[in-house]
Amino acid sequence: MKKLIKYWQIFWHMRRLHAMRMLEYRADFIFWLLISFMWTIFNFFFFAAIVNVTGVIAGWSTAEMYLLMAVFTILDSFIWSFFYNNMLQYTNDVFNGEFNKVLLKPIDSQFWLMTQNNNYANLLRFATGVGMLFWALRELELQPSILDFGLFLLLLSFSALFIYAVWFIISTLSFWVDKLDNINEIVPNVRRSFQVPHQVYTGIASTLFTVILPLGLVSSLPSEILLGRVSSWSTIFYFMTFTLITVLISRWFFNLSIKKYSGIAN
Amino acid sequence: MWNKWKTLYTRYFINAIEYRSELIVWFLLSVIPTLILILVWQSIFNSQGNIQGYGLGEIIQYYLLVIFIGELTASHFENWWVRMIREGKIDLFFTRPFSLQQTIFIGDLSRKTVYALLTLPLFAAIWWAMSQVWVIQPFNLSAAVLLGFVVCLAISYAIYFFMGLIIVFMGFWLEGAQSLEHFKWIIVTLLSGSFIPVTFLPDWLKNLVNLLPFKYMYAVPIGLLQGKTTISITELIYPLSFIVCLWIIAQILWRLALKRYTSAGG
Amino acid sequence: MSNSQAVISVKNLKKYFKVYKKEPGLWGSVKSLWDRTYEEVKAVDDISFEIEQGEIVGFIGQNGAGKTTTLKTLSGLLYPTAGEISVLGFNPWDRKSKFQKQFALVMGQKNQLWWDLPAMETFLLNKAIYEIPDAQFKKTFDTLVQLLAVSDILKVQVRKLSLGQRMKCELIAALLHNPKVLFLDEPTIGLDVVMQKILRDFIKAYNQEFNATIILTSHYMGDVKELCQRAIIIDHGHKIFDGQLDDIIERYARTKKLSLVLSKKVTLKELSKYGEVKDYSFPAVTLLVPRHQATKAAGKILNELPVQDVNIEEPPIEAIIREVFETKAAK
Repeated sequence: MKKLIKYWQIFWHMRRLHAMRMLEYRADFIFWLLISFMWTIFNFFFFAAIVNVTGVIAGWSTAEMYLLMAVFTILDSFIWSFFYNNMLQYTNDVFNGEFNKVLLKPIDSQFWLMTQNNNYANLLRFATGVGMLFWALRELELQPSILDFGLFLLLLSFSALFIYAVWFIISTLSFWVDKLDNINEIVPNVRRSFQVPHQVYTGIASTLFTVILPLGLVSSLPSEILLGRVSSWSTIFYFMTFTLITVLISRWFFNLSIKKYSGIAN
Repeated sequence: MWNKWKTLYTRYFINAIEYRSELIVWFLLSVIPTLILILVWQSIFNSQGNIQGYGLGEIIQYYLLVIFIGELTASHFENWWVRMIREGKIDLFFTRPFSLQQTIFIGDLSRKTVYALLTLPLFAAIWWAMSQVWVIQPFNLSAAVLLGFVVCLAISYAIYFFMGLIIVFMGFWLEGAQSLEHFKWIIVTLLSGSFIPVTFLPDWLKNLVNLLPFKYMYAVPIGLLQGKTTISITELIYPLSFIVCLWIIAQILWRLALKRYTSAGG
Repeated sequence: MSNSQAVISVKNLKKYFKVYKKEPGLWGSVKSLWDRTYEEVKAVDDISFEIEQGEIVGFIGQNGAGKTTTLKTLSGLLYPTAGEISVLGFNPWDRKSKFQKQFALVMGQKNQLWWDLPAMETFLLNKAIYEIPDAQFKKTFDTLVQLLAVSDILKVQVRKLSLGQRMKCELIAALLHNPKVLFLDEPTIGLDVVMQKILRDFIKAYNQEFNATIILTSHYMGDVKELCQRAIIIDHGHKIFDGQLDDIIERYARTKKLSLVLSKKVTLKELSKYGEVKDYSFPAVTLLVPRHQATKAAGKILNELPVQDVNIEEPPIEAIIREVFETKAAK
């Protein structure tokens, strides 16, 4: 219990430190605030244009697509805030031989790697996403219950956790290769896989994106809960279980990599 | 004189080969978002034959050509060169027989050659694989069309290059000038017809695209190959003048930078 | 004879590395995909020693001798190939929090201070990570700040500090948790003479104030001479000497190095009258002179030879190690 309190305190301590840093570089912060907002608008445009071609994508109406886009924006701004910088620092430390300082600290290494950094510039995006969400719900004249919202938040957390685990496993590969620039850009590059409704994936694509590596479910499942159109509860259960297993694998792989690092590194 | 160009070119060529495995990985990764987009279009078509003059096969062809043109003409050198400028590493260019601009150009050209050699076979394979799943129309080829296509490729490269050069030169004044790339990407993506065939754009945007010269980067060359557009020699004066304007701006920035850089004593 | 009081105990430590060999060039890279030949490097090859609380021990050896590897193993960063180690009663490899809170590894000038914030912020962060109780933190903090005289720069952003001020703050950050055991790897490398002295004085003071056990590695005899009573010489992964520093100097560092800068050419024969000529490339000359006569010889040289500059230094480690081997061989 004492440990949990310590980790909770350190987590917020780091957030405070990064807020101080952000104030140091105000211009930079405002710039990125605007750029990330610009990209959100662009993305919205992109999919709005496509949806408006026939008004329907894989059984999702225009307004339902907007809700999906809102959920994506919320999720995406979260992972850009909390995962991108941490993973970048993690892989850089490994490639530059600076990883020892992580191992020397009396704190769980995986926790430290995920909490040492963050970025506030995506706040505006996050707010936009939330705004879009409620606007879409109103357009659709939907009023999800508290239970629905609770379930939505739960599933959203699992989605974030899943992306984290996948990203962390990829980043941990940095222990095993000599050098791979832009290893941190792999996950951001496949974000489109969860910008679209999962019904878009058929055949082999479906097996790949909804079973083997269920990135396709990441935004769709939480959205379906709010929209009251859950296609399959077993899929939700599958996704949650898959996420937990991936998290366990990420920890196991990390420990394995540390062993290798300490055995052969100089 | 030819020898010194060859030497510079070869040096950058060898350098690019060093990173060959990375280049291949990145190419494959960058194809994924397009593949997903194609799946979206597939579900939009939903066994409809034709939407606003495009069949599914033509849409797929469209996006594959977007990849093709992008791979050959887009500029990615801003990050590296801005960093060189900010770190003061370009002193050599004031004494060497090559100007900074020439070096950036030759370097970019040779890197693109390596990239093309590595990725075109992959690209052809992907094209072939997709044509096994979907019906993709043959091209409307004739000497005139081919010529027009190549001219547009050159125009696209020139626009990308000079925009990139301007961004690089901004590095003499701005810390983090490479972030200006975001504006480049958004402008080009929105206004060149690279994210969706122009027909599907909302009217106001359609008019803007037709007004501005960016359409010659993607929309026009693809339209030529698909037999939906024609161009006349006289209309090329417009994009060419635009390129000249960009070139002028770049030269002005370079003169200003020279004055500032050398007077400050490096 | 094993001493149960020993804070650090190392028995038959071995650490071997597999280094993959790759031929240069493109073909070499391709070949290395399937043809992996490797070489085994014996970084540490059967070393044993014990260190008691409060000792400051110097590890001396040339680059690549195995000093850093030994320290990393004692810190739990590397897993020993063979042997037993114990630090403060812990097995370092377990990397238990309780262990990590009691030692510190300081390697060169690596930074842990946050660049854009005042040093105080990094200190408070470390306080949270190491779970240092308020009272203990205040006491240690006040002592360290006083020893290093930095009370006026704690609220200044680190990037605005001078190199020397930064070094002092890095030290504080590394020692806030008041470690009982300190591993210092080449601590003075890259520092100027003034900072070297500040650092050495501080290490002495820390040892006296807190009775901390310190292992210091260096390939400068100067460092070790200033700080350590005991020295362990490591060469090619083996321990070739373990004893009092004075002993080493008496027995194996019998010469001192005189570096001269000549203003006019002098013959080799002339120079040889003052000592053993190790190196002569005009205008620089390196002479080895018996230790006790070094100052006198320097005086004579200044009077009799056309010199611009004379420097008296400890002999290089290589010379000492050579002496150790030659003496052992002679036995």
